[in-house]
Amino acid sequence: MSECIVVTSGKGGVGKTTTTANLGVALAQQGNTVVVVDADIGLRNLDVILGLENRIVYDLVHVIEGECRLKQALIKDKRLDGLSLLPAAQTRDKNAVTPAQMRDLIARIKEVADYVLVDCPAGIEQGFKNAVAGADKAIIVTTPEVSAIRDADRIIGMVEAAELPEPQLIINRFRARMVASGDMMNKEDILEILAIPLLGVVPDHEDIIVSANRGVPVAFDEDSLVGEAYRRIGRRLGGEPDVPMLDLSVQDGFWTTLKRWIGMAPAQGVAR
Amino acid sequence: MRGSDGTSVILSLDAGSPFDVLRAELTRLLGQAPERFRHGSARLDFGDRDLTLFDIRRLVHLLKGEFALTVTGIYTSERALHRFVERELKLRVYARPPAEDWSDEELHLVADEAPTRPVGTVGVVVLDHTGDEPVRVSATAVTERARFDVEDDAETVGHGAPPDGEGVIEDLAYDDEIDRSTAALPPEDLPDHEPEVAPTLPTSTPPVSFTGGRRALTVARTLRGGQRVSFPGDVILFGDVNPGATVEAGGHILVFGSLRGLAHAGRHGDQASVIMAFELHPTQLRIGPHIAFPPEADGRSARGFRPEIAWVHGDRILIDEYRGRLPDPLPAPGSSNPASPSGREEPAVPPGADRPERSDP
Repeated sequence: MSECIVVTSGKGGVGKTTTTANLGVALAQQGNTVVVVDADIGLRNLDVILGLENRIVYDLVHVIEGECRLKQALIKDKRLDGLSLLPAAQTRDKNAVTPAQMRDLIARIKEVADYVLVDCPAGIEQGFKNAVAGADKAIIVTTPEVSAIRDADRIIGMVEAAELPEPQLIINRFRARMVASGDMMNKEDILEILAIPLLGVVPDHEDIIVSANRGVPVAFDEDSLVGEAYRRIGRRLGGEPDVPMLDLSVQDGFWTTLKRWIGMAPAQGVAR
Repeated sequence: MRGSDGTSVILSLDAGSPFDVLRAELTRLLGQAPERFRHGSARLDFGDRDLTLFDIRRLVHLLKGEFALTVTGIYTSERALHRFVERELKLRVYARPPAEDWSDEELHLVADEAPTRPVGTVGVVVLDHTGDEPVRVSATAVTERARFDVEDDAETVGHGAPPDGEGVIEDLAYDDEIDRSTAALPPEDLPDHEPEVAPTLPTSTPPVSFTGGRRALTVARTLRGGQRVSFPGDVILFGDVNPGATVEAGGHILVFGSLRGLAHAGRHGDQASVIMAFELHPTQLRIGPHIAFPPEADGRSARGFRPEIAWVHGDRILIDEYRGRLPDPLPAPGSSNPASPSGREEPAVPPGADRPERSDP
């Protein structure tokens, strides 16, 4: 019983690719066979985030056009058994592929994998339609910003129109301290508008930038809080829906506590 | 119809295009038109377009303010609107002119972006009585964004995938689609359904009457950004209306959830229409010809359900807590003439763009 999950957001830059890479790693760590598919044809990134860029020989368009076999195009991750990447073509565009072709391709990949994760391009055009074509369900990534939430809402509507089941939400780049001071939307505000089940909250952290530049997804890093967030989301996806949410509440340092004690800092707010 | 310099302009608006696109194209087109077309009088040709009083008012103000064109009458085939337009807008209503009588001078405007499919045409028909023959100028508006909106609307209707046909405008088919699902009366009854468009409902009768032959559309889902519901009767929605979504009704709009998007009740001019929601935080409210923006953040403190109702009082939209019955006083027939193009508002600002008053108990 393999499953294809599309990771989408509407808005660009909210962390779709990072999320896809890390969930791929997290699911593979649980012993699953995972293929991550970069559907962002023409603007591929997933290979870079995974550190597999220099091993690309064939890509998704080659497979669809029959220039190579699926197995030849899949790049196995040497760090982790069970994880492989189907990269996007860089020299073509979204119109090189049709939704029907994608549906066929995903069906073929599902024969060799437990999970297929599709990294959807930003936008609502052809690229989106291709990416959702073969999917069984969708994960919506958003950040706690009004614009990202507007786009996520629109995309949820389009996912419903594509007759996928109710999507799940990942809130990315969450900053507990800003939420506590009232400068960022909290989880409840976001869920009230989007009204879909929450799959996880990923804190904002420099680890992400470092890991992206090194090509090592942060989910490999046992000490990283962000990595832990992704690993827990991976477990929830992989059949343990009750894994507790990461505690992201603000932990104050000594000086802040002292300032509050003498009345120089605002009362403590707890990130929700 | 002669203007100060003997020029009269007829603006014809294609039935299929989103109104805002047409308006933008019209502005651009008239901006390029020779000076002699200005300072005259104009008639608006709406053809078969599903127009609203609100749209007409906006156009009248736009033409007056930007191009010094005075609108003296409209052409429309929508019979239900005649009486209302004549009384409220003080405009004459004409049968459609025989367009083929005019010589054509066509001017095609194409957007800068990549080639796209046309979404509709804006016809500017110019009658120059000083010359031998009337001159007609028409333009094809090509807008990528609009095409998308329209297709997307079509998707939400339940048509499934948008049709393959080139540039098919689907949103007008929407009302029919809905009609089939709920209709007790044949759909063609509605445009002539007098109480719907007449602003003069007897005050002794409650304007909401679910037994009196009005039709209501029930929608049991949340409307997300980009989705739209439009129905000639009342709309009852079990779910939220999110920012970027639109609900339009010929009558009332009742939202059993949060209204955060745009709602237009009484879109054919019925000012006795109300908008109600469990949580009323709209991006914009429209009732009949009136438009209102919600008050600036009145705090997200009151989470939970506190049903509120919006209605027209005089020439303003008021919002108050819903107290178990329709607000009093009801809009008195003919008590005011808010829809007259008195020129009180500047075209740059939407007509009646006042903050609604939130009358506190």
